Amino acid sequence: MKRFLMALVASVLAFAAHAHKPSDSYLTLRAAQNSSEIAVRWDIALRDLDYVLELDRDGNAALSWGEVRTRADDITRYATERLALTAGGESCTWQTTAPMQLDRHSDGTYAVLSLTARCEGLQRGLKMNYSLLFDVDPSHRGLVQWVPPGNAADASSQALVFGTGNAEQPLALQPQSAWQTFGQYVVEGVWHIWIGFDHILFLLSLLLPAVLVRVSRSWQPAPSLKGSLIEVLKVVTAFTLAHSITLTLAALGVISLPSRIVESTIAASVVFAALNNLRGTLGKRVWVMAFVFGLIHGFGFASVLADLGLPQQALALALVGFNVGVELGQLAIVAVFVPIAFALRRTAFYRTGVLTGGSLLVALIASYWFIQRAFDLQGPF
Amino acid sequence: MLKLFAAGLLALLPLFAHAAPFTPASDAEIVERLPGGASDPAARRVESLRKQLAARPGDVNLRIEIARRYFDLAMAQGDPRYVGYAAAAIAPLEKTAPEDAGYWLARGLIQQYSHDFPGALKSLQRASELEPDAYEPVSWRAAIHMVQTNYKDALGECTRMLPLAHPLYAQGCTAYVNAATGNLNQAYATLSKQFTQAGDIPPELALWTRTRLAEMANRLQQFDQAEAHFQAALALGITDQFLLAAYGDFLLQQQRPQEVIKLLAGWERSDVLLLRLALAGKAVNDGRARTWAGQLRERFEAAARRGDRLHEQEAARFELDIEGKPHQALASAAHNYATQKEPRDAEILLRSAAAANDARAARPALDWLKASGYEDPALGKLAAQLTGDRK
Repeated sequence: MKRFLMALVASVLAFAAHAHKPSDSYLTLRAAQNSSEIAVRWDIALRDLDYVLELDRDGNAALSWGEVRTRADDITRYATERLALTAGGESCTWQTTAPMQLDRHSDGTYAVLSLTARCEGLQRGLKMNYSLLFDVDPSHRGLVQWVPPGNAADASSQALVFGTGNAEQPLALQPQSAWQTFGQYVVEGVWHIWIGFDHILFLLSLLLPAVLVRVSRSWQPAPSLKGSLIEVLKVVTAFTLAHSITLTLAALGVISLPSRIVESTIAASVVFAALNNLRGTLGKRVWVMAFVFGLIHGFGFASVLADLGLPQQALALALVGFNVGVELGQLAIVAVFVPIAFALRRTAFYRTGVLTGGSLLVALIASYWFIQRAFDLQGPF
Repeated sequence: MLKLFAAGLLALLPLFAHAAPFTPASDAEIVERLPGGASDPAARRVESLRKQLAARPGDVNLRIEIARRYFDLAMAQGDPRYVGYAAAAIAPLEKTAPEDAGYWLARGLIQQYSHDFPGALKSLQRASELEPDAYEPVSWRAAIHMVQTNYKDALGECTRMLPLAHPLYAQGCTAYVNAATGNLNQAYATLSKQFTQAGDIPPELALWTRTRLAEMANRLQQFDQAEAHFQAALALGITDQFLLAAYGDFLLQQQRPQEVIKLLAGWERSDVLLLRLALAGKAVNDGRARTWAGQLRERFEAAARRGDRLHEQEAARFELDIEGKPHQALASAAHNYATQKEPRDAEILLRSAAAANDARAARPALDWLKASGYEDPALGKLAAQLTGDRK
């Protein structure tokens, strides 16, 4: 008995504390494979329905279930007259599949309509025109979840918003496949290593000495391609491993660092990598630097990914795709760089011009980045 | 864009997943309370006007009156559906664009509500041209110029108001601008004096002036005077969300969260006041704090789903002070500051930028602070924190 009373009190409170929010209706449209039928669930606020259909017959500002239930046909007619699905230019027909029910949303109770749209020629393209309540409340929106055919899981559903400005929109019959998502993020990954000059310069600085060996405080050409390739492999693998770890952790929100620290450290890493080439201090342990600073570069990639946005229904796929893209972009750089560097390694041009001069130039550019990023030089003060 | 889309998709999933429809057991069961009951005469009145309109759809004056009444209801109760109803009432007039000041005023109010400030200024200008003696369009224009930090234009509108209404309107307007542009001390002293000499004034004007005086006193660190102004404003007995929000913020700043919970009891339906409740609840570890935070989260998610960005200042404060997500807060605050540039908008931008360690993002607010000469020790401290470590 006491439990019952508490539930009653709670529901009264829930009424009293209704949030004020603009008017929305919620639609789920689900198409089945090889069928001309689309199942529709449509939630419309009772308050909105009362505004246009005067459900509150006794005018006591309270709707009883009887007042709503007896108008179910009017409600269904009113709603379906304002939702038009057309397949291949022909109108779909509406059918009610279950009696009207109710559901509670954050701003009150909604009528729940269960409908079916029969659309002949569905494969010729589907369009939806939504005009519910726009005549009495232009700020009303229809929030649609569209599940295309052949997608039992809601994972591949699309969210669409219908408003006065976009009352008619196509419902795409082909969802984006997992491979398309993957491919899209691979391309993004390649693109972002290519336009991320700081990452490229860091990697190149680390790779410049790979075709040389340090003999008694001076650089000598490496004797074999195999030895050079092993060096390159160690550096690239360490860098890749490190930035994949932090990219994943940051993208999943496990850890985060202030962007100013990340960006300045990335700039600093380029300076260190370039300066190391002048004296070869790290010797054969360049890969250690690649790993340590790779961790920071991963945070840099993560901020790019954050700007892109990750599709939550294909999070892992997108993350792996982006990583793969970054690696592919990196490999392309390596594939161009290593043969040229190896061919030139005996020349003074390479050892003095490229290694020393180039490293100095890189260090200079990166120092400028560092100062700019660390001290936020573009600031007004 | 992609990010927005992904966020929208993510937000939609729980909405559709948790819904479990039901059928009430009996016809007598009350399933929904509607506005416009016995305790809501204003809503009933406009409802009856709407019924008249159904019989006389061509009545321009009736349409304009309905729009104004709905808009006033929206302001008093914080219910955005009423703004939509107001827009619908005058929508058929758009084609003929009547030579009626009331139409252009109502239109301007609806435009500024949806943050279309240039459109609103044009409409309000048109209203003034048609009815040069009306003070309302002028005062709204002043308010919009303030939001856009066009202080010179705002001051011009304040002066224009002088012959149109009780002088305290123009005086309060002028003091408000001066207090934002480096003359806080003098503005406060002048307006205090003018207020005591104002004589018999409408309670709404007293409420507005008291609230402004309270805010100025607070910025001058005269907390007792601020408190006195707030109390006097509350004693006027007019329900005003903006006053409650301003006093709530003052109490929070004064470390008096318990009083906020008392002040705002039952105000959960307003996003703006629910935020203050959630902040106070968190400060005193109130049992309801989690519920309040959860309600707010739901509402901001719902707004994001439909693409609304009207309460971004509150969203940023929520993300920063309750969710502890400075980067998200900074994104909201920065986006908000692109359209709304009042001191409170600048404050949340500075605070989130400081928390996210991203001084560059705070630059628009820092620039404003420097250019306007706005005096507020709290903002000054934030600016110093954001710029100090760069010297």
